[in-house]
Amino acid sequence: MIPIEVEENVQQNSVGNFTISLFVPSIKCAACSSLIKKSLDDVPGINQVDINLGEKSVFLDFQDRAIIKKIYKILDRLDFKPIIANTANLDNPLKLENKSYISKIGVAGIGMMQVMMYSFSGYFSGPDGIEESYKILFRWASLIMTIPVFMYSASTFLIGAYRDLKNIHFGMDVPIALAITASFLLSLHNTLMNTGEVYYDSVCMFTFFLLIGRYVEFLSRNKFQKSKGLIDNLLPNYVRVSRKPEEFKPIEELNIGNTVYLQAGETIPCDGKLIDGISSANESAFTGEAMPVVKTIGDRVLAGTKNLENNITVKVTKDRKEYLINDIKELFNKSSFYKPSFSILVDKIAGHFVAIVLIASLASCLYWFYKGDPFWLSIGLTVLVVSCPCALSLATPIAYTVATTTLRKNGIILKEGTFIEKLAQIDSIAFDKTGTLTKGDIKISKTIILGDLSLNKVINIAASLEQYNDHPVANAFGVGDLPLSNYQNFPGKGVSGEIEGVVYKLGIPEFSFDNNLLSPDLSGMWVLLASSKPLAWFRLEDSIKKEAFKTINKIKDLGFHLSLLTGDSSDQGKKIGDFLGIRNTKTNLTPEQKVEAVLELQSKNQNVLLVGDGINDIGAMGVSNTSIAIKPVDISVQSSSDAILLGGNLKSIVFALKFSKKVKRILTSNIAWAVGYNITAIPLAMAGYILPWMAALGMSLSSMVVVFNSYRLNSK
Amino acid sequence: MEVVFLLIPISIIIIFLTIWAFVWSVENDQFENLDKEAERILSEEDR
Repeated sequence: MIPIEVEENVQQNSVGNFTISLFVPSIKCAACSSLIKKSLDDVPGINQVDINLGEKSVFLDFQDRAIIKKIYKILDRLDFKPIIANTANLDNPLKLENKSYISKIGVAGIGMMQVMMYSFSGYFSGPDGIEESYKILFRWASLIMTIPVFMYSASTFLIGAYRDLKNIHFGMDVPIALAITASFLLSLHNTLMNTGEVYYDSVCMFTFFLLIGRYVEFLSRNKFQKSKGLIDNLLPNYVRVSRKPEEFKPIEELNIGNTVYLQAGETIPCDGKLIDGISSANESAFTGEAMPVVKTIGDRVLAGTKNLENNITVKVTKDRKEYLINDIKELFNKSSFYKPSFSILVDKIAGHFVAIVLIASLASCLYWFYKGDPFWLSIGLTVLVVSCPCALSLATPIAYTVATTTLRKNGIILKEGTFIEKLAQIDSIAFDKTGTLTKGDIKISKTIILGDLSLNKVINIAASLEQYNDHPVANAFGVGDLPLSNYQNFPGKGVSGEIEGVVYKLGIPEFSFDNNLLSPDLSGMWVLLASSKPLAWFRLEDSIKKEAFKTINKIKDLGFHLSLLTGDSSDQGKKIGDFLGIRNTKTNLTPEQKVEAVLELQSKNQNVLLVGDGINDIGAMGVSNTSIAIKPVDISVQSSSDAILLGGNLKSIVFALKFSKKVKRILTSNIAWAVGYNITAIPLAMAGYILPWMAALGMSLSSMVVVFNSYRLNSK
Repeated sequence: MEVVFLLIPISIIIIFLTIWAFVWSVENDQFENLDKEAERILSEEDR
């Protein structure tokens, strides 16, 4: 029976498909995830299966709501029971898992110490050995101590291996479980029959050290799970809907148009408009920018940000599902699902690898047995344990999960997982001007009336024409109150629409009237409002972001080739380019010409990063090697770019450029370490130079090295 | 040395008691927040 909350959490996306994120606590290793992927990929109607090993979650995209039942059944049958990935349910299984790990490690540790003590009497007894009766006593004592270790502590590996074998799949638990079970059963047999050697100490040590390795892995995953959970927990449970008398209602019942009253220090529960009061908000959760942003009447406020100074009143303007915070959560989810091409290859290798290891282990057993070595079995088992490719499968996912989180802390949200990979290869950066290098806070600095309409009238018409436009230019005209119909937006040119029966155009003169009309002068950017005849000129001015100069210089110092691509027709673009020291400045570009400009750069063998913010950059974003959208307002810009810079602070770009190189370095060292470890350890184990306890310790340490190395990416 | 025949079984009983005590403490949230005790001496309230 499928739990109701699973069905309820199926969401429909913009193209009409259904999606859900499931938390599957029993995902243990790369082999588990490839098993799930293989089983679900074949189901008709499922478009996409993404499994995140680090977070033990499965993201699904499917065509029909009913398919979720099938998915649930398949996962359940494979023994991967899914849980809905929200924090309320999430915290508990993690806590339980944590407890079970501690108990298992404790039992294995106590057992190991005790069994070692019994075994040592045999090891240090000298050439004659100990008296037979004592030997039997210690064997039986060791057996009794090993039983709980084998049955309880090692169950993590045994159950995992059982699941793999049931599904005819060779995961990482298989060789471990095989090593532990074989040594236990052989020792048991030898104890009962009172012959040969016993390996109880190996059983306990394998289990103890391997469990510690698993636990460290679990803790690191847990930590990032929590940082994601933080976003979920940002919103309050109850909101104040009336001040006098004070009344609250659950946040779930909040609808568009409701009014919410907030006091200083409270978290804003909704995306909305400030309708009363003046205060500032801390939007650091979104932008990484610690400085509060001043909010006055009419300003947009975001769910999850903090109201800092005064009492304010906010009107809800969006449905709960459309809050920006959800997008961020979604983007964050998606980016952590991403697997770089290399990682996919590694998972594939890991699958075959286990088979190779089993053969190698068998071969060494046989070889040493015929050589007459009494430790033939222990050598074979050591090969099994030492070669576990855990470090290799962990190398990329862990590094990427940490990197994604660090970037988010700096205000950069990844949309496309390949972003970090691509960014590390960039050698040329193309900037858009308005809203990217400049503040995008455009003001009208001069108006020239051409027709017989009054100043107020032309501004009102212009403002009404721009009322649906998200471009920064639109805000310069303020709020218009005339009804608008037949609105059309021509990116890079202007807008047109019908007001009171007259068709108006507002934009560059070539667009709104004709080519022959020259702007009054060349200072600043002029736009023309026209109907059948020209009506008014507006001069628009924008100021450069204060960090732009420094940032551009830093990027130049890092050796990147810079260009400025702007649709602006005036000499303003040229001026800004000169001021910032960008030599390759192209002005007066249509969106198509921007695309050509990027292609031209690429034809010179440059990998181009496009930094833009508007609809007119979408095309160029598409052809560029990778792109960052700055504070995108329009959803299509948001979805066209590979990453989003939420705070709009250009400094983060410098950080990202440097950071991508660091990620690449750490990734390379992770993989080099993991591959190097296996290449050295396996032959040594086969040659009999590695003792069983070294194998267990080495295997766990190699995973830990990868985890801790990845943590180096966790810096601000 | 015959006394080990007595001592080893006793040690096993003690070990099993230890294991039981350890698992009990884990199950009863004794390992939930290991920093709590270290931080407690810094807090003003006497609890």
